[in-house]
Amino acid sequence: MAKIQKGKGRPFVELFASALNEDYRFPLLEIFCFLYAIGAFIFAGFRFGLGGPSASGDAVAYGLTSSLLGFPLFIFVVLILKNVAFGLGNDLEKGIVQTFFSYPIKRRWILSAKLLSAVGVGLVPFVGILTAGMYVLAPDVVGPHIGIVLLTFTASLSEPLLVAGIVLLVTLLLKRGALALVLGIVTYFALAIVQGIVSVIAAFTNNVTGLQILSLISPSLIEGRYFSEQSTGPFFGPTTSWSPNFTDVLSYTAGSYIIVATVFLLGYMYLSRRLNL
Amino acid sequence: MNLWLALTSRIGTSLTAIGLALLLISLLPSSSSGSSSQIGTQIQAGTYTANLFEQIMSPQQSATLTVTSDTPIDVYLVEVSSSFLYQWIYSHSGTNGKYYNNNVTYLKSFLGNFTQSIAYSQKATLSFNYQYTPTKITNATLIISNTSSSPANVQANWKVSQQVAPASRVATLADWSIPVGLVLAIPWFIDLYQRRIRKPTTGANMSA
Repeated sequence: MAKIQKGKGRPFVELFASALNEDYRFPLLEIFCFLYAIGAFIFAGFRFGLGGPSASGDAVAYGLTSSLLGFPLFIFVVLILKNVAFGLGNDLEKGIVQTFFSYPIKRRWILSAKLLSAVGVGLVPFVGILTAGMYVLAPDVVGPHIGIVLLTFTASLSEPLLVAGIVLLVTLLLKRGALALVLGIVTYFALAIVQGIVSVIAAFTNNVTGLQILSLISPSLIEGRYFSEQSTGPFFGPTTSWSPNFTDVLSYTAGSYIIVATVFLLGYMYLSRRLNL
Repeated sequence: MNLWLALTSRIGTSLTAIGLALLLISLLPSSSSGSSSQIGTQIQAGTYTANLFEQIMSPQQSATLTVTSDTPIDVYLVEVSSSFLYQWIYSHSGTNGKYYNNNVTYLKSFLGNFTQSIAYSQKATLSFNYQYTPTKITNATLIISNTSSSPANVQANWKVSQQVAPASRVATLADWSIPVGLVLAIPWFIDLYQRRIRKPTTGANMSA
């Protein structure tokens, strides 16, 4: 049994190492680590708490974490989309993936090795460096509220991961990465614009249906609304018909990850059953 | 190159990159546009004052506090507001209905109950100089207590400056991460050097 597992594990490790080598060529990883470390301090800000001592520790931790999720999150999105689109796209375009298919492992493990390198390894420096940076800056904010910090990361990463899943599907369908990468970046910005429009509509019409639907794709919306209402009162002027509680935040975050998992599952199913080369 | 050695080397180069970023952050000067003030006052024997410096501060702010006196004084920097201090003394110590009772006995009682709120203290000093950077969003209040039998003429200066990050903490991290990263990356540097040596020479060089 151990021999079989060892036999299966070796090609997976080889594929993973090859994907790592391809995705993070020197000095790409170092540049991203440098940018995350700079961003952890340059973009850090305290949205809640400075106006008075009324803001809770959770809200201060949320405000600090969300302040970092602008530029650093964008460069993380660029990194994972590049890895998913070009990493897999190049292999499909050049026929390298056929070599992988000759390995004695199932297709789903090949995709797992590629995604672990493209997304999983990319996540480690992103979350690790930003959290460590925040801890250095404000240990008494981050330490006691590490759960809120991680929840904020989880909620904010759902949308980029969904876009990465869409890019994966498009790359597999088109068998080329460049177009999928462009589509991914356009989708990411389009979602940001839609969020802005829906928020304005919610503020002026008191109709929060759009906001609730969009929160399933981007749970950082509901999290922001929850903590803003906790600290500074109603979030959008007259929009008082939807005051989410903490359970809602957790439910929407879980819901968004079910959507993300579904999109990735479709990618796995397509590669395993439909992809013909 | 061995997989684990390659992985360790890449961790090393990444750590060096992080260290360089931290070094850069630590070199950024703090903004001099923050508020500052200079106050001279007399504190009667056996009394204290908590009204000289008080501010809500974030970890991206740093306060430089300087106090000089002609009589030995006790100086405390506490992470509560002065109104909280006076309110607590008023409600706990029976100050005969006097809200701003500034007898040192009441202050000692307060400090005994809120030891965790004392960020820094210096007792029986003629000169106090301290740079305070909070680790959370907090109130910061300077308390000067005169426990001697004669009045103290006190001169207090404070200046609050904005900073990207606490420079000393970030610099310490950079000082550690850069050498550790470089040590971890040594196998990669050796491999790079050996590959350069093994590289075949060009045609021009061969003919020469």
